[in-house]
Amino acid sequence: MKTTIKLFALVFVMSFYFTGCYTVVWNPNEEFPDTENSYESSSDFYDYDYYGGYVNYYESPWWVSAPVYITLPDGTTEKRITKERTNGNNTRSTGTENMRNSSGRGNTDRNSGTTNNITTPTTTTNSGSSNTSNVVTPPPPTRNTNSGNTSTTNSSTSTSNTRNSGSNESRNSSGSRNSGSGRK
Amino acid sequence: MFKHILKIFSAIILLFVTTTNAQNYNDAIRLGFPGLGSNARALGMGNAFNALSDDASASYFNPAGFGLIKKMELSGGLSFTNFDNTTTFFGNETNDNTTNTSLHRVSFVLPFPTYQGSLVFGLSYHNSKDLTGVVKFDGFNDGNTSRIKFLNENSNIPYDLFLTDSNYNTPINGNLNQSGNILNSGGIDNWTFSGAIEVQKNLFIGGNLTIVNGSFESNNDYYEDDTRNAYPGETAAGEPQTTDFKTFYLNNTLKWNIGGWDAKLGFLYQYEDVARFGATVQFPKTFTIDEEFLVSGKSEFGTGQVYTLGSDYNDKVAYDIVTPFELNGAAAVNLNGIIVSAEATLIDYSQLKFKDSNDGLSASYVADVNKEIKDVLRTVLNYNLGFEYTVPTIGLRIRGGFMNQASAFKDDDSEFNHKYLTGGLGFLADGNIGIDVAYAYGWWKDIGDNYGSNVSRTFQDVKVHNVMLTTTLRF
Repeated sequence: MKTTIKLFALVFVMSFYFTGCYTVVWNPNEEFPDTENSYESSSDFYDYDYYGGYVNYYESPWWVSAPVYITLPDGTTEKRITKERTNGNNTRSTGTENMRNSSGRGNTDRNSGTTNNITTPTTTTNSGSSNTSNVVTPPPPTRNTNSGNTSTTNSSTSTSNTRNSGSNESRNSSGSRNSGSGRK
Repeated sequence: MFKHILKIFSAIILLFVTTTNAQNYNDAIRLGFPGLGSNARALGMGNAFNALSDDASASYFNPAGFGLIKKMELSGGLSFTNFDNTTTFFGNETNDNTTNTSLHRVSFVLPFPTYQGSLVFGLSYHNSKDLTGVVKFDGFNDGNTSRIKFLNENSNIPYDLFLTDSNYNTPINGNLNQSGNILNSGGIDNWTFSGAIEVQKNLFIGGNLTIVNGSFESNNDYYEDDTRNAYPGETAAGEPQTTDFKTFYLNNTLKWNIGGWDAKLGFLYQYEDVARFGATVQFPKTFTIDEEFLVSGKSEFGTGQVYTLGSDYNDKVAYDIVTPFELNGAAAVNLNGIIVSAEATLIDYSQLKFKDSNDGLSASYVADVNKEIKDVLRTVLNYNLGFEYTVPTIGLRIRGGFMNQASAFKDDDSEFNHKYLTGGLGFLADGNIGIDVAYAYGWWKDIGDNYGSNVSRTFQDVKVHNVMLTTTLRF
């Protein structure tokens, strides 16, 4: 028994000796880096095109937001991991709040005029846990509906329906969507 | 083909009747031979899962696979086994089957948050082997042998049952109907603590420590009946109440309380999104056996006289059985939604050994049994093949597989190998609940001797149906 334990320990320790320690554990007392793709994972074995919802099941760490798969106009799928939103340390910057919530009417004003900022509609596939079939195609752009409709991505837990509704009213009507700390 | 088997069973019977310490290599094989594990996804793929191992069943297959798990996981499931045995005994075919339903796994996996790499721990209870089995036989042996005669050469049981006179002479010399059944039940359960870490990008190392807890019971009923009235006179000369021998009945019940421990080391490398390669070293498992052997019997005569055995032949001993190293290599290839996996396991059964725990077995007896093990058992290479196809639009997975567990006995033909054809389905509900179902059909041949060598032999055709259900919640 002692020999077995010694051999077991030796192999385990030697593996670190030769390879170094690749894994870096997150210290809960430290802020999780607020940069995209801050989590360095091993290569994904399950590809979204072939495994669908199983990708999130296998490849998304519970401490990092689920990746969002965006189908580009050329038909390819792009994986995007949103900024970390779950550890409570990623409150929105003051600058962002000022831009979006300063008066409660700015957004409405922003849509009142005519702009030529017409974006190409994209199809967004949200791979979140409850949205595996939520393929939403925004309505055709018009001059009055899409200005400022930037291509932000939401995590699976966000209110993606309002984001993609294309309705000025629901998007900007009350400001409640952006109020308080509801948005993680 | 059968020469070594003849030798084996001769040795078994000799050991059994010459001493009450009837332990032999069949007991060692019972613990050393692989089971079916406890994961429906893996079973559906013919248990070719060592290179995948990306769920809590990594504790059974490859602990390095824990490093691939990125969500907390709670999983469990049930297993149903139907063991069907058709026995041919002196030209007479008899069928019997037995079933068993058990909780086969409860597991929890905790991946630690990391900036890069992975560090994952798991705690699992799982059933690694179902010991359910049955043999039933019934036929007329017109030879000049009988178990009464055989026991009379090595024990006092026929004497105690008035089947001999006071000088151990008996007129019984074969020509008896022999029947009986052997019912086996029990299983090997494991409590496993596992851990895995990513030591380089895509290279994982894991290990586990298992505490074994299990039980086994074998209930053996055996009858010899004078159905053709070959012995109408006194069976024990001078004892008129023993006139007209009718029946001899013997029951052996073997009860095991199984404890023990083992450890496993695993490696897994993922090559991009194309392939995974796995390797494991299963260190020798040490099983501690607390054994109780119960013997009862009776004889019946035409006079209405019945004699029963006392408890003189009951026995309690304790000993250890140590299994050999098991080396496994595996690969899984991912081809556009189809995973094809294969693995091979090297086991040298001749390294199975008994260890004396100073509680009933003498050192010389243990040495003799271990020598016998080396003489009759061999090194084998087991293999597993499997595939899985995922229909991405509906989250349905379709699986198939095959596994071959080679017989441990030297010179056994492939028909004695345990072969399984498997299939399975998997579903993903709400994106975080995995439901997997597997079915395995196993078949092989076996033989057994009631006594002696090939004078009272059962030829067994075994078929096993196993259904496994596993549910996994990831969060």
